[in-house]
Amino acid sequence: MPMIAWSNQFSVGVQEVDKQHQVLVGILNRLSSALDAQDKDFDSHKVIDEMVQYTVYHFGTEEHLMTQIGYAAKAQHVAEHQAFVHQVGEMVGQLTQGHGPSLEELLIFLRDWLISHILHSDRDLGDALNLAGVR
Amino acid sequence: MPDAHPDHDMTAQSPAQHLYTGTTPAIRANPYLAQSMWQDWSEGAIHSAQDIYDTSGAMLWAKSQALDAELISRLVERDLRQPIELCVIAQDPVKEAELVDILQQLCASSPALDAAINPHRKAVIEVLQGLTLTPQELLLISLLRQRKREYLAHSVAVTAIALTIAVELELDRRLLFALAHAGLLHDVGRLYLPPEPAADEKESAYYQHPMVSALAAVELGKMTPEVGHLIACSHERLDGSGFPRQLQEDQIPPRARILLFAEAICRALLNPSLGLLRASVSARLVAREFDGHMTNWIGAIARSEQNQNPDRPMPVQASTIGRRLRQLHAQLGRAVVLLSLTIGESLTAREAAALWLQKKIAPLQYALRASGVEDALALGLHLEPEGAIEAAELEALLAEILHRLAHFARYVDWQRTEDEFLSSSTMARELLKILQSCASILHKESPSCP
Repeated sequence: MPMIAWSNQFSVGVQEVDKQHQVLVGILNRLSSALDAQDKDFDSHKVIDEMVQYTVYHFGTEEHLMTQIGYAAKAQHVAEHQAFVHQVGEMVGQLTQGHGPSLEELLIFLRDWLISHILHSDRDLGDALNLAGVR
Repeated sequence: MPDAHPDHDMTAQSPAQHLYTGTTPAIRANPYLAQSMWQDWSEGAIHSAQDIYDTSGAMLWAKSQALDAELISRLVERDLRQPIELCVIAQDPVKEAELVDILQQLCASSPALDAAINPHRKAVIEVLQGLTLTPQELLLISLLRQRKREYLAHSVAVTAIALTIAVELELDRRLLFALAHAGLLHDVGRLYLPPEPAADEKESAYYQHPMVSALAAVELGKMTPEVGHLIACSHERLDGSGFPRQLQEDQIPPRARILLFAEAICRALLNPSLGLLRASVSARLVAREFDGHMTNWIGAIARSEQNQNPDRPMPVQASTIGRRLRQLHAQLGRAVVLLSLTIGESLTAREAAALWLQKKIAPLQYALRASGVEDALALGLHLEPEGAIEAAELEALLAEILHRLAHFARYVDWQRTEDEFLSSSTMARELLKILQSCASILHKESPSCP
């Protein structure tokens, strides 16, 4: 069973953003399944790196859309992105050096952050984009 | 778990087993009401207004005699020809004039209530003085007073607040009387439910009482169906989150909106440690829960009171409020994530339950977002109020959300005893843990979350 089952509740009403969110959910599910299966050949660090890279790309997409419509809450939203990148960077750094959070803890952090961010900030952004005619 | 869970009718799942409804062939006195007539009152306080017969034609008690313990015990065992409430009168009932005295005493001890009704005090008192209560109505509210003085005080306060709003909204004077009867009787259903319910019955009794009150008012208090409808709606909410029927805005008539609003803010207005600010915050906390005219009305009174005391001291340290808000934000975030993980595309019973729980939690999280704590966290800042007024508002917001979460936790706990799915659900158990942990936020001094 996937860690996060994609459903309409996560849709923000903008196709491009939804697609990217589904990719992020897919990466997290892959990581979770490999951990559950205790797959020794699975390169978790590579997948985490992929997750971080794709997240940065996705944030870029969102911030570009915000600029396009002159989004009023852009500063707060971008600050959330920056805080996330900073925190994940620290956690991954600690993990690589063998101290700090476990892989499972990192996964739960990523899951909770992504869901909260989609359900709140991204949904607000989705409403604003829809109002501006972006779907 | 029943498919209809998210919108189920609470009256249907646990009917008031002992309430006389006027439609049952066997009419026995409700045991809790009978208990009130005897145990809560001194001997001789209730007299028979007519001869009392059972259905076989045997006379149980003659007219104008004081009721005694022996008769009371017979009343609950025998089928009566007429409901007992129609056969007896209180010797020393609450009188109409006393209602005004009670209101004035309440205003003297509750400055917030005093301030709220002050603009229309004269009109409110005129309505109370002009009320004519039926003998059964007098009996029921007298029994309510005997059960607990606070019950009648609450009913009088709700009536006065509702009348104040009605006058403010320029309702036809004729219509005020129906509102007054409904306000006074809206809690008489408590008389028909266990006075000290066991822990597992407590929530059930609470959720039944509006409907039981409505039935008692109409069938025994001789009130019109309209008054009954006002009472039945006294705990509904315009966004569909109330009880017992979870009515939607278009199913709740305008006057019922007044009564339910008065009921909702009464607790804060009567309690000097809560007051106008808390009433105003609770009215505005969830969008579309109440009528906008009424939330604006209480908001304006609260603002005016704040402006009169701009130099109030900071209620607690700004950093403490900020920390508590962050803690609450983290806990609610956990609850929302937990519920989101359960909801999928196909609406199974499990998902329907999660969706229903999320519907209750989400408005509280939106309310918390309005405090600015989330933005502050996103910017890497700590939310700390700048002035005493802002601090008091944030403190009231925090306290109201925690109050509602505690109430919701009790409700979920109760639902777990009623509902097959929730009783075995790990998700429900985890959610309860989160909700219950919120209760300690106001008392916990060491920060436990980011």
